[in-house]
Amino acid sequence: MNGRDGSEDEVDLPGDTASDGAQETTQGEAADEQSVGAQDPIMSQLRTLYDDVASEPLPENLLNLLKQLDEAERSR
Amino acid sequence: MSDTFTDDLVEALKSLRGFARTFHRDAARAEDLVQETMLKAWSKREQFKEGTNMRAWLFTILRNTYLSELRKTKREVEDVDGALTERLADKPAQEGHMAMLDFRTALGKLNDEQREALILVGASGFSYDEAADIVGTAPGTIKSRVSRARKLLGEMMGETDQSLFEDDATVRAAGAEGLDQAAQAL
Repeated sequence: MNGRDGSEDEVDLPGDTASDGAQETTQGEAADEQSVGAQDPIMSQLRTLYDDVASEPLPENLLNLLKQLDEAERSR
Repeated sequence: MSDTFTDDLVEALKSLRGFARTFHRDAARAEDLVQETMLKAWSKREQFKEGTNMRAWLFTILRNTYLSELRKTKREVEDVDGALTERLADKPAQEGHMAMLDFRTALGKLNDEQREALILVGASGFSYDEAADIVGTAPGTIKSRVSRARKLLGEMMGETDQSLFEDDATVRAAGAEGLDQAAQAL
């Protein structure tokens, strides 16, 4: 059931953990590019929906709230 | 140091909004969730380790906020809950089984876990490992949720026939290529 099963046998030495982790991330990213390809029309609709909002500047009310928090912090 | 935190927070909040608005059809609810997450992140900023992934940190807070609200709401509407679930469950059937759904509607019909995994990996740009950390599960689980979600979306949007056709064409092309190679090998 554990998805990390595969690495458990190999990673016995504590020193190995960091480099193994880095390797996993690189592999994961490479796999992402393959499975969630830019060619896929359905995934590109998802990205459009997401990017429409994510590329907007933050709404004024959030920025103002953050500014107020910042100012309150400074004046403490 | 406080300035860096705020700048990073503003940047990361943009993608957090992208996620929330894609995950929830109700825009007002999505915006509330983002604001709530921002306030929590601010109050926990001492806990944030500089140089670590601010986006992943924020997404985790957003997720916990959403889940705790969900639990609260469930408790509050326990009596009505049954009726509501029934009504929601009725809807797809009434819309007709063969009807092709638009993307937004199809996305809304995925369960939370599938929709979450699909957006984290397919739109927010997290790796399977990062998404797994945010969700608190194994990368393999994220991977299968993403592929299940992608498959369901395709089915709901009437992709089945087309993809069968494409697969068929691919198989045929690959077959021809394979035959060529086999011929060359002889």
